[in-house]
Amino acid sequence: MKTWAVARRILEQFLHDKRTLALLFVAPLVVLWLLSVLLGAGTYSPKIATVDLPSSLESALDKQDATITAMSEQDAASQLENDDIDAVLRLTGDDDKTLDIWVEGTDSTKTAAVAQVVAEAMQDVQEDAQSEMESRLDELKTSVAELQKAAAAMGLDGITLSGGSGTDSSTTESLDLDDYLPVTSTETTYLHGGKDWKMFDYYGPIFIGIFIFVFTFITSGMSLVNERSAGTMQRFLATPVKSGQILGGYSIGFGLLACVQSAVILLVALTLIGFPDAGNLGLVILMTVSMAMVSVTLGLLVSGLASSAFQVIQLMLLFVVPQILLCGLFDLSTAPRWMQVLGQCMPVTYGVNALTSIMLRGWGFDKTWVDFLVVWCFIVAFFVLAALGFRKKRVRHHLAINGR
Amino acid sequence: MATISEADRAATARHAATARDAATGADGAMIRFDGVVQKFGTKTPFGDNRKTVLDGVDLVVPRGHMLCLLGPSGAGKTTMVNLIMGNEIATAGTVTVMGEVAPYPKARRWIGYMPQDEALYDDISAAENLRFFGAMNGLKGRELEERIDAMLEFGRLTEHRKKLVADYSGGMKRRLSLGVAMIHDPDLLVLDEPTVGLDPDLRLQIWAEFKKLTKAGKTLLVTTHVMDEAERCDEIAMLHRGKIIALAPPRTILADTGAANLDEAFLVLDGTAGTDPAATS
Repeated sequence: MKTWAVARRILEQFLHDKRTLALLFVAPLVVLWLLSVLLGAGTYSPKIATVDLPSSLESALDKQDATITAMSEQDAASQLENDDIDAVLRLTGDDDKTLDIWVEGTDSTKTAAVAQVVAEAMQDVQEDAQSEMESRLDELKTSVAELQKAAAAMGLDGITLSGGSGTDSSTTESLDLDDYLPVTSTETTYLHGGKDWKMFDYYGPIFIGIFIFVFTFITSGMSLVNERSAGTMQRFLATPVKSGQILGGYSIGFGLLACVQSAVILLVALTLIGFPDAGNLGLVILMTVSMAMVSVTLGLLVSGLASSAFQVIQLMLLFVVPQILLCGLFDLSTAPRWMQVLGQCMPVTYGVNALTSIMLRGWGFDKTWVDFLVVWCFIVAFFVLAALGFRKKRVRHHLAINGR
Repeated sequence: MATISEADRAATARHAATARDAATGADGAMIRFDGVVQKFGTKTPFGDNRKTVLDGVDLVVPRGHMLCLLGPSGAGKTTMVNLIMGNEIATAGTVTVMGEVAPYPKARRWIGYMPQDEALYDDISAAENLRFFGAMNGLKGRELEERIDAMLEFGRLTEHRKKLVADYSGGMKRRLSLGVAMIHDPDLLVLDEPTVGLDPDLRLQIWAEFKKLTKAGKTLLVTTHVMDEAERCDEIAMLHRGKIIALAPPRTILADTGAANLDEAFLVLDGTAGTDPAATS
């Protein structure tokens, strides 16, 4: 009853505060939309300058998804300096057979795009060279056959030409390049997702989870700091309410808020922004609400360290940002071992993992229950610690008096 | 100030029976201070940097009395209130409320508290504030709604019940804050500077209301730094530099000191206290 009264008051505060309420729904949607535009765009087509390249390579480059401009070396150098172009291609080496790729180099995405374009152009050039070589071989084969025919007509049966020519020698000495390659073409089958998936499709579920977590942490932390500065905290601690009831009320209040918030965000994200969703939406909302509960219990646990709204933001930098960095937003498989272990000690990692599994892979509760279990263990642990911290003051009073 | 409604009286009567379960002290004292010393600051092996705020306070407030805690700013009034509410713990000595020590497992239900600052939720309405604090004190259902109406009527706020507290004037906030302190019909009311910053007519009305509450058997502890207000109390405890320099009805204090008003009386008593070595520390 008291727990519900606390939750109800929190919801009433939000209902009266139209601006914050609007912000809770609008701000995440605007940012998600911006991200979808940014990360959903196709691959970058680099701007490349060429300096005296052979025409075959030049035409192969023109076929790629890039802006290719031929110019003098001085022009190219100054444009590269001014960051007007991403790379300069020129020939070096003793025999002018080495392609020198001269990249601007500050942006690794652009460098990678340049490398991709050059690699594809080089492959085209090689294929052209190969087919040219094969047609020359065919010509040679025909002329050899003609020579053999002419020789036979002249009665020189015993003559064979070195080099494996002849009508029946192709079985032992192939001149077809494909016979020397173990694999000649590739084909990709997608277990989840598809060829047209953009970067954003992978990040979408992660961002939804992070948003709910960050918003709940800030709003619940601010709410507690306001209680302390307005004196209402002191006032309701003077009533016969237990710390568990206060914390429970806070968790339920912000949990309900997160439930509505994530439902609205998901609705708009799936219909208007075009999020992928392969799984059960109810399960997605259950996880976002669980993440909000982790956030509010963590907020309650650490908010004692903050005495102003400004300090809540500082606490967020300390307790929330590391979780965002290590939760799976960035690939940690090449990170140091200790960092991977640290990432596994944070609740957001499990929440985000479950969200991607449900939304992208379509997994059900039978495959994600471990993540749910871990997240709820964090909720219980934070709740108990926060309740102990809350009560500590009163208990200390009690013991100090009675222990005398 | 509107008079206490019939519903209010009924609730008072209903609580009267259960209120007795929360035992008063053996001597019937609602509040009792025994040699209470309160120091703030830190004590290190290199020196004692603690400031003494209360220096051996003994005080008994019997049931049904209205005691006025009178003293200049910084005398230790709010510290005494915090000790009574269990917000702080005394460095030495004991504070008991209705025979219990903090955190008052049984007595807390019967204490009403109005802090010095309004301590209301600005971003919700008056009725929602009252509902929240009522629920925190264990009221529910119909009884809670009745008490909310009674308190709104008491504070003359019935027509503003749906207004956000942020839009209230200072006087309205103070009346609402008093209503919040009384929502659960407590036996003991601890009011820290309840009339500061109020208009004279409103102040008179609030004091009249306090008289009514004591007549109904409530115990009140009111702090103030305004001397002429204190004259309305049954008993005055004059607090100066952490010590109680006088504890008597206002008329007795005036007679003993031969002063014309409490301001003069305070200066007379202050002069004698000034020779106390502890007071100059």
